[in-house]
Amino acid sequence: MNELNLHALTGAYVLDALDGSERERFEAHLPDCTECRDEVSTLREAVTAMALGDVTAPAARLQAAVLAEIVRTPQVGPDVATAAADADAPAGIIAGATVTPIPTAAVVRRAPVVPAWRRWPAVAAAAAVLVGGVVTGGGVLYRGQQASIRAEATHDRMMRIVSAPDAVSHALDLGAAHVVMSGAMSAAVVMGENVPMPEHGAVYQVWMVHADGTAAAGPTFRPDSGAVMAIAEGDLSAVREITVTEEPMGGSTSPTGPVVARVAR
Amino acid sequence: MPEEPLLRVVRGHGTADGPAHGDAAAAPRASATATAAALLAEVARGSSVAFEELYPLIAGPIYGLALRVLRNPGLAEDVSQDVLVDVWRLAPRFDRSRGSAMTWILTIAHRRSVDRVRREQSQVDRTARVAAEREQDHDVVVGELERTWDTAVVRRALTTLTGLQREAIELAFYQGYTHDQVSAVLDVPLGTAKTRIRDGLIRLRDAMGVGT
Repeated sequence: MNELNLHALTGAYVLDALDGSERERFEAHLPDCTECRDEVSTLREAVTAMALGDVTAPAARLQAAVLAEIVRTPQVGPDVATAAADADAPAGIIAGATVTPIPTAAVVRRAPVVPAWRRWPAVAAAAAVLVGGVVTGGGVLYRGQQASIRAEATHDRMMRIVSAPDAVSHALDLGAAHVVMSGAMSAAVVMGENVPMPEHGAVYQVWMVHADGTAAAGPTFRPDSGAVMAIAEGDLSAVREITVTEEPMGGSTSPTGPVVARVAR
Repeated sequence: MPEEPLLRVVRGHGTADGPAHGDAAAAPRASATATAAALLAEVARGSSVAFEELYPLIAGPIYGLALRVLRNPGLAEDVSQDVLVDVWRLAPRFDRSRGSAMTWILTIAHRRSVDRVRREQSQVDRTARVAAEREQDHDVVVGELERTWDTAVVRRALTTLTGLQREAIELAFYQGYTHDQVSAVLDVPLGTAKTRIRDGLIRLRDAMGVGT
């Protein structure tokens, strides 16, 4: 197969649609071809966006099984980064890569495994009781149950926002909360723990405040055992800041209560 | 007392992140933005604590993709476990200059899922089954992407694809087909299948504005 044909295989390679010998030949070609490497890595980002449409929470037992296994699984060394060294490693990313040497002491350092899974289910549980129409969550719910379908869609959406290439996280002075904003996803996610109950209103509400001072109404939310999660949808390009106010039950069309937290775009 | 902010782990720019919570052990990490790539870098240095923080970010995408390709929760869980352990094992080889952490991880997940689905099922059977499904209801396969991609960005990107491009991508990505099988099922020459897959992905990439 000549080089021109190999160039045409980037798409099939990215989708793992090459058979064994073609894959090997293409991976052997990659280190020598900047063009193919660049195309492979940019197409992979598009494929990642496809894959993130299918986020599904696995059974909780998987966490325990994986943690137990990594404790007894040695890591590969960073100094032998070739595709041939490990057939499982995706070569488009790894082959020909420059690898920063890591001191041996750092490689063998092992921190103790501490169970810390409560964080994730906490958000899902909180999301399930949220008031706002567009706000709900997944994570501990399972596919196939009618009630969980919308929750799952929102969970997926949240995952896509927080994993968007341009996602930025800012601390929000409301308990231990954060706002994750993604211009590409046109959305901001408020999430956190230890959030106190509203003092002056029934619910919190998220607002996208634009440069001209107008505020677009976002979802309302209430802490559940301190945990919150809410997704505000909208074009962020003209947004100056994200604010959270306290509002009466059901929320408001424009802010009426005190601003309890704000984050500049 | 919560240990650390819930999900302060995002890819992107190095902005200030959450407050420390008085937990001495958690404070150093809580004071700086930890990106998924940064977490993976810590995992590469042997930190199982960093791996625990990474897990909730990646387990859903990995399992979801495996389930989509394998269509069997047991097999998908099995493959997901292998992938997650691979993330740990191969983390020292991750190079962020080559792409995002999520992409590296999902590349491993897709590769393993496809390898598994090809082992589990006779390729002849699978080809026959999908050809039959296609015969019955042409929209079954074509509609897959619309059902799962719900953002405006992706919807817009999809409209730029031809029917053949979409089918070729879906067959390869979700069915684990080789391009030979794609060409057989779609009844187009192999060269056409290759071209449609590549052109389609390039259009998606450009329409979504990713990776550029």
